[in-house]
Amino acid sequence: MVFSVPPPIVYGGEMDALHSDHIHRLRRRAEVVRRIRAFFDRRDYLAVETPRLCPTPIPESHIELFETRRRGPDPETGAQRRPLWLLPSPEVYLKQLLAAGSGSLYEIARSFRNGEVDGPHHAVEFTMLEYYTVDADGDDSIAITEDLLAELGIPGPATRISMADAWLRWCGIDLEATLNADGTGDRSRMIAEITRAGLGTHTGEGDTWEDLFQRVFLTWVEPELPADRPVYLTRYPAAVPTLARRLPGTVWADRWELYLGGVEVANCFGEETDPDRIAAFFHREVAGKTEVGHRVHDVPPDYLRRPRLPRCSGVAMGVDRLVMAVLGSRDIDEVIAFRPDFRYDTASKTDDTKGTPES
Amino acid sequence: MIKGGAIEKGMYILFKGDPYLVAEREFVNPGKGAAFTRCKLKNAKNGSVLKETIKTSDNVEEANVYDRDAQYLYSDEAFHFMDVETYDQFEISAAVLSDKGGYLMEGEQYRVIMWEAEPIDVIIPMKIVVEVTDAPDAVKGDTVTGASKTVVVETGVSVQVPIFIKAGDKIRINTESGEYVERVNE
Repeated sequence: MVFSVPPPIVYGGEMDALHSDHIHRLRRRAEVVRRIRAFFDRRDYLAVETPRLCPTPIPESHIELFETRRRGPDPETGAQRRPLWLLPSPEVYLKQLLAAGSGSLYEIARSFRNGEVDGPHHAVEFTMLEYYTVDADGDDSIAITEDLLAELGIPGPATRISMADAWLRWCGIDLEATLNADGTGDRSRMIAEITRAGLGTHTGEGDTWEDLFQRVFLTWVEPELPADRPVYLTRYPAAVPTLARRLPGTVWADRWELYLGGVEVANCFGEETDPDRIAAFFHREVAGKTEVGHRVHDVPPDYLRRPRLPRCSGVAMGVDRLVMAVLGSRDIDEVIAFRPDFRYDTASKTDDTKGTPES
Repeated sequence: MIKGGAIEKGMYILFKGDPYLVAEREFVNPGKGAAFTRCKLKNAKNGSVLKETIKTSDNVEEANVYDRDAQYLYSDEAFHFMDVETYDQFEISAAVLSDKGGYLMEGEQYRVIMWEAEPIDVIIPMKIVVEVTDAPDAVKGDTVTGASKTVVVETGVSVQVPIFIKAGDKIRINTESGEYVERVNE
């Protein structure tokens, strides 16, 4: 599906009807957020507020961050202070609270991702709900998430499908055949499977197994996910590097994603708790950042080594997309108060070109 | 060269050596992964459609296309045009034009897209007014709301229309969706 991006809502001028629709949607959004809080408060999750600024975010090679800096010299060294980064999710702090013994907890946090392409599902500043449940795995988080969706009036029943089954069903590829026993991806066997399945998907010389995995998934599998009910896509290949733990004795990770209306809304990890594997992930992602030319930041030293992260499962859910699903909106601009970086002078001129989804 | 993230709908790009029209384009950015541009590409030489996903950071080559104005003459197995400046006649295969062939009006002037001296596309208006040439009578007593029937219009294509449309009526149709828009009174 192709969308054109409608102009952001601009106040001032003679747009009363449009404004009152927007205010009405913001009221409903506020109700959704109230219900989310009530849901977790009732279950004794600790509601926390962690900083948005951080000197040492979790490195993720594909996510570009906003960078800023405190004024003045560092009081200890006299040199210029190290940069601070706007967090792309509250994960880095929430996991430290979990390791410190907080028990299950949640936060509704403003999150920032530089380099997002503005569109009907993306904004550089957005709202993320993260909830971590201690002594739980990804399956437990599905049960909790189903209850949450029911509380918000999103109709089920949900479909649960593993990544391997989804690939077999929608593109005829045996995904496990493209993976080595140690869980890593085998590029040449992925190319062989793409050829065998007759997909015609291009395979460039520089493409890694992960590039091909993403390309096939996004071209042939994701668009086919049912859009009329919640879908939990489970058991991602461990070869896609994340902080999800590997399911013992398998090539799969304890990870799922939730799709509502065919749009990715949440990601869950049965969390990796081994500090050495967490450090290895950081190391790889820092190298990845260098490779794609993103600014490299300091990483948390000895993260979650002492104290260690307890066994837990964490869900990161896009609140704006969740509200879109509850309201039946097709554009994120309808459910956020403002897009942060539009220019008033040009935006006001484009009111009459309010885009509608094409095809 | 442009980046995969700069691909726009309606643009022509070179892919596997052939020119492709970007028929649909959507940005996808998985929460855990690189950003991609998901496209439907139409091969401008044979009309075949390809689903592809291109990394926004990958290089993509734009196809060097240009256009010429031409008058549509007639069709047999192919569609025949005449360049309005040089009076050269040339043809475009039905496969290349696909659905668009059914909306060409004889004698009308169109913009023809060229690539390496080959015509690869014709720009047609999004909405056109055509005369209904063949319409079945409405079945008597059929008062179901939204009932429709199929008629044939002067350019040769079939269109679903409301039952009150008769042969000789002029109607506006959408050439992208192939749908009836309204009856035009003159």
